[in-house]
Amino acid sequence: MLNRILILGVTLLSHYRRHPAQAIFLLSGLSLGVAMLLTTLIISSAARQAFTDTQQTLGGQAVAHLLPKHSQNSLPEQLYRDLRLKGVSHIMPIAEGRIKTEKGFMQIRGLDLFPLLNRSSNRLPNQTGSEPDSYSDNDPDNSPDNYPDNDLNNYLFQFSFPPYLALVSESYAQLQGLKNGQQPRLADTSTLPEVRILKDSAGLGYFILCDIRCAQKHLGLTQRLTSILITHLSPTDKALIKQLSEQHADLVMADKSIKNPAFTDAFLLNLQAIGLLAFLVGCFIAFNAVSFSVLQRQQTVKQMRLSGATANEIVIALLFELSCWALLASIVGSIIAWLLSTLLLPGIGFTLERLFFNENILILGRIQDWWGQAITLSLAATIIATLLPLIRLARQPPMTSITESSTRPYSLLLSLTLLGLGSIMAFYPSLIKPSQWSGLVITASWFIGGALLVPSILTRFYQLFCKFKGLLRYPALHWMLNDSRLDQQRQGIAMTAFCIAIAACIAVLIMVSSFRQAFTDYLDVTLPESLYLTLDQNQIKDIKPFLSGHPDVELVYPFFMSNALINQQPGLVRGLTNDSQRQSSFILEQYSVLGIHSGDTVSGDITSSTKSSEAYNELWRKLHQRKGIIVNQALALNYKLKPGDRLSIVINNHPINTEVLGIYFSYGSLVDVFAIDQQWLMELWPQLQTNRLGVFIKDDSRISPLLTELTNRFQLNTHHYVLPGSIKQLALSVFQRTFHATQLLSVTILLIAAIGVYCASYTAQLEKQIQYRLVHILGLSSRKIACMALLQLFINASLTCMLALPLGILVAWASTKIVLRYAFGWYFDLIIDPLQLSLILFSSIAILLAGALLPFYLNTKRHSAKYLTAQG
Amino acid sequence: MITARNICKEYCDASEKIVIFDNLNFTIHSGETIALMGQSGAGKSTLLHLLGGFDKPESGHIEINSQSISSMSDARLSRFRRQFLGMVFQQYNLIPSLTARDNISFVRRLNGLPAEDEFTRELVHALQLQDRLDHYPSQLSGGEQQRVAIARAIATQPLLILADEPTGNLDEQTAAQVMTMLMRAVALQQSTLLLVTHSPTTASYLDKTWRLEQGQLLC
Repeated sequence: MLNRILILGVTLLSHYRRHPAQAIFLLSGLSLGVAMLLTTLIISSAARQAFTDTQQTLGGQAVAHLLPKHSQNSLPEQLYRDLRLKGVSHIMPIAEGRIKTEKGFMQIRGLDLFPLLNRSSNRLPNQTGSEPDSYSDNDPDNSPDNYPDNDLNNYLFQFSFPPYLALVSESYAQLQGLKNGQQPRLADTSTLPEVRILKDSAGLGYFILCDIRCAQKHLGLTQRLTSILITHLSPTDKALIKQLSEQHADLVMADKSIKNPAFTDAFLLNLQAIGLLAFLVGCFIAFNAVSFSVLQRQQTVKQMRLSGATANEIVIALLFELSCWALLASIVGSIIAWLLSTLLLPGIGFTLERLFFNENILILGRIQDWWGQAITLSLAATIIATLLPLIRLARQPPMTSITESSTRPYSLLLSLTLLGLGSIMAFYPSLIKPSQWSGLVITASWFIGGALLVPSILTRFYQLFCKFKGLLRYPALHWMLNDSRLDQQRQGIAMTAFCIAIAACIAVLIMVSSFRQAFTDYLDVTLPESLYLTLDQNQIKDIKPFLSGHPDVELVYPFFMSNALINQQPGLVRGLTNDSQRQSSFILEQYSVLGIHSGDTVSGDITSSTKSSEAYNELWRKLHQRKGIIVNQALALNYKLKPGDRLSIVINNHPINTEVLGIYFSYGSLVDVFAIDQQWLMELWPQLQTNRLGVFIKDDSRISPLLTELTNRFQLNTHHYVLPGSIKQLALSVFQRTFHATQLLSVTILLIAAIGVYCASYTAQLEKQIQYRLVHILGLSSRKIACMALLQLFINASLTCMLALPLGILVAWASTKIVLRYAFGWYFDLIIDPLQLSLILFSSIAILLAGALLPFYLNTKRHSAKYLTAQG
Repeated sequence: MITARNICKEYCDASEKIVIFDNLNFTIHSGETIALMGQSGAGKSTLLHLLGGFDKPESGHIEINSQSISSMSDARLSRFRRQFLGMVFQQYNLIPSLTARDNISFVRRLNGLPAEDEFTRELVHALQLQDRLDHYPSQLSGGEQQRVAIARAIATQPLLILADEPTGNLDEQTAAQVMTMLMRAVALQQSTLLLVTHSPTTASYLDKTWRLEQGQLLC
């Protein structure tokens, strides 16, 4: 029996020897689908692993930190020495900050490694100093053999003594353009120590690690520290630390409940959704190729059945074929996924660090870590794509042919059911438990339901047009439309895949634009000033009057933020000065849709916009008249607040019950914050001090001269000031890099879909040979036939695009307004750029037509009579 | 009138060259009905393809109504075919997405003629298709499909009808019906008919029988 099955299997597979194109389409569909999903899973897994490492480091090893008091920006090093002298040994001094290089900025972290040398260590301290013995000595990845050159202890020795060493991870070196042995040159012409590049697995993050003395020198922190890390805290130590550090530092316990920031989760969610879409599109391609091969092989199967092969034997033979495809797809898919991940990981890792504060480098796991996933995905893709057609082939009775039974009524029913289900869940949230998963179910229901409508809509369109009697005057067109009406079984599947791809592309484009706008707004809100100064109290006394009287300065204000109680729970209060500059950096939910950020009237309906502007200005008037407060989205969500509600707060032991005037965007921040009039805050809390000054400058081109003047006059260092403009620029460039990667993935989906439609066109051309040759013989020229076939494809593609456009917008809307809200409690506005959308639609159609040209051209070259007589 | 002069045709099969026709010459006068017989592989269908312009000879030329079809471009040949030629196949070859009515009128409409006229109505009655006009090919029997194919071939009143084993797939009784109707339709239009067949019975319906043997016509 085994021998018979083997013969049957080999005979069935030999079909692909005669039709290699079908094998290529099948394999490319499966492999690309698997590769794309696997890539996103690898990236997500690497990102989550990095966050887990962060969590372990902060929550597990660093039990607490000593941070400078709110009005100071550094600690005296003497505090560290005193603690050591008093017997507090599980502590490590840290000096950290940004340094200006010739090309931009680098993050530098200085550590004193000597406290660690009495412990076994195979790995350098990571983050804010994960303890070395937190890493297993038995882990081959962390063994010294994996480091370049010598044993780590050699590095530690060189690291800690002049001329020092600067250690940097491969990824950060790649991003900063650093080479082994190089001495990075700083803006002040000094140089950093020689750079040694370590493998990412060594646990370094996105910074240059060097000895504390070296870092102090370059950061201008002589005898000062930015923090002290505590890895073990006994009650005695705690009391001692509190006593000694009372004047200079706050003891902050590590947060064991640290979670991925909302932005990161949203980002990874989108990434996986893109991967899943690519997977579906790949399955569609494979399904298309297999369906055609099944039709072509029915004669072979008939002959097998007539020769005595049982249906079960044929099923087993086909399962053998299915396994071959799954295995091949897993190999090819894994290779592509590995290449894509290697290409994308450094950029995405850097983005996660810059935007979402993940300091661990993303590491591409070992192949055996995700080989299982690859096999599972390949098997799933192969089953989804091939099982149904192959079962139909195996169950075919010996003397009958497979008839392509219409699945349209079922697909229409399924489509409407999914659309209905999604709508009920979206518009009646009380019926479900809103969560990230329910949000995803809504999006997926709309997405798949909408895409499944494509064949029905195309068929209805052609049915409608075929009824026009006037069409009879154009026989070629009449024939083409009638042919299209019957052809939607095959073309419909390809067009469904195409619709999914375009809709995904549109959704990604809208979401990227919206993310970009949200991120820009986020930066504007968090960094509205032209210049940001962090000073001690003496410096503030000198510099604030100087800046207030400076002709280039429009506004200088002290930045106040402190603890407060909100409904008896801890939160933060911010002070808000009465000026339009400060107000414009708070984007209020109820006005953001109208584009009102600063009280200006907006274009459009003048009456309503004027009314809105008046209301907007009235809100600020009430805030500064102390009649209310504004709250961030996190606070509004926690207490289910809306404008007009009342809230109880306690500021410096003063209980207040006040009105919520508005809710401002906080972009996923989990901290409850409210803002009140600054004068009011000062009256409630006269002893409140700040070490931060925000400065608005009239003309941005005057920042540099002002900074030079400040630096010379008050001896300020780079750690005393921050230029929000350059941070914004850097953050946006990092953002762009990541979303280029996302867009690259979405364009790849579109290309995969184009391949799918090409496969469908190719197989359709083969299937229609007889018909095309017939109309050629009846008097239609080859060119006209090709034109008709192209016109058919163009109509299909245009109708698909017309459906994909609202579908893409709907999915983007659902993702931003529903999934984000359900999952993280915040959302952002949709930004729709008609020009970009038009570009996507036109380029999609163009790619599709270009892809179909070759099969159409080959079709015109076929021998008419041979097809009509030989094949009948 | 159809004239073929010095027609040579050969096929390459793997490394071997197979000569089908070597200097073939013949003339067919207008209104003649000729049955073309011969062994399988003798080149009967190939001759039909050459006359229809679906295939080109290696050398020689073919004139139909004083127009040389050997040198025509694809577009001109297409126009020529739809104006002057009707074709009937053994496998019927109807357009599956069109009804019988639309199949019959397809070539007429390509020629810019009205879909129906008195002649086509007569033709449909002669072929007993009046009750089947709104059916799709998949809803018709083999005999009905072949009658639709004949109606389509004759509907434009072509000068030449080429039929490639039109009764090859039909039973004896249906074949007789189809041939009777084909001959009636040809008579109605006074077209020239060249019909390939293996059946002496079918051949007996036509004026002449030609045999094709070893690349030569035995008239």
